[in-house]
Amino acid sequence: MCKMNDAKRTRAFWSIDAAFALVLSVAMFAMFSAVLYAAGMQALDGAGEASGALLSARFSYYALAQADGGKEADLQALLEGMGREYASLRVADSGGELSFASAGEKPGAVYCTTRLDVREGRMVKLEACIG
Amino acid sequence: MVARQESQEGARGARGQSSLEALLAFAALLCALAVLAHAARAQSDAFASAVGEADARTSLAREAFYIDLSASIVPTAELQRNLSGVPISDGKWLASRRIGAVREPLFHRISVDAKGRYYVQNE
Repeated sequence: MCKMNDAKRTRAFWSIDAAFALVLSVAMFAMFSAVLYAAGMQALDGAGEASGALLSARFSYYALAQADGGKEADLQALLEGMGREYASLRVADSGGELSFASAGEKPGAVYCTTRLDVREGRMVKLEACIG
Repeated sequence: MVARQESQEGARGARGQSSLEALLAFAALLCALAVLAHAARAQSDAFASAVGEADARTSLAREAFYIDLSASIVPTAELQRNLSGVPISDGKWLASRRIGAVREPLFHRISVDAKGRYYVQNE
């Protein structure tokens, strides 16, 4: 009788042990997956940020080059050609805003670059944003 | 004698059932491990893909920056041959060689000459 109880207890112990090990391994796997997913998403977010920041810097160079050539950047045509949703150019000096042009609807993430330029002998600040 | 024989057969039957249960439990454990291993491999592949895409996007954005910067500074610039991106859509976009879906728009057009060399011009 005592022997039978021992056998039952041993079987019960092993089944609880195995189930606990399984639960632990599933939990660890879930945590590992969550960490991997977060790391992957973070890498993609970082790349998106770098791409957006460099794009706005390129946009500011382009806008400056256009302005130096005496032309205004056609923002709507630019958006259509680049597959972007929003672009804006703001020129301001110490006295305030001199000009502002924008096209498209502002999306969630807009990347801006601010540069200094000399126009008509005056130091101005050019802010180029793209999203 | 008969009672002893019945008792032995009963014990043998119980042992058989017990080993069948153990076998089934082991099979279930193997199945669970296989599912976990499969999921882990899928997760690892997804992570590698995300990191690869991030890497391709970063290097492409850097190259696009240097291309547009070169075009802003000099009238015509010859581009390196070992770029990680290739010009597409009439030279106005740069697509990654490794992951074609990763693309960067350009503010200047890339043109190619008869010898296959890439140029960017300040238009």
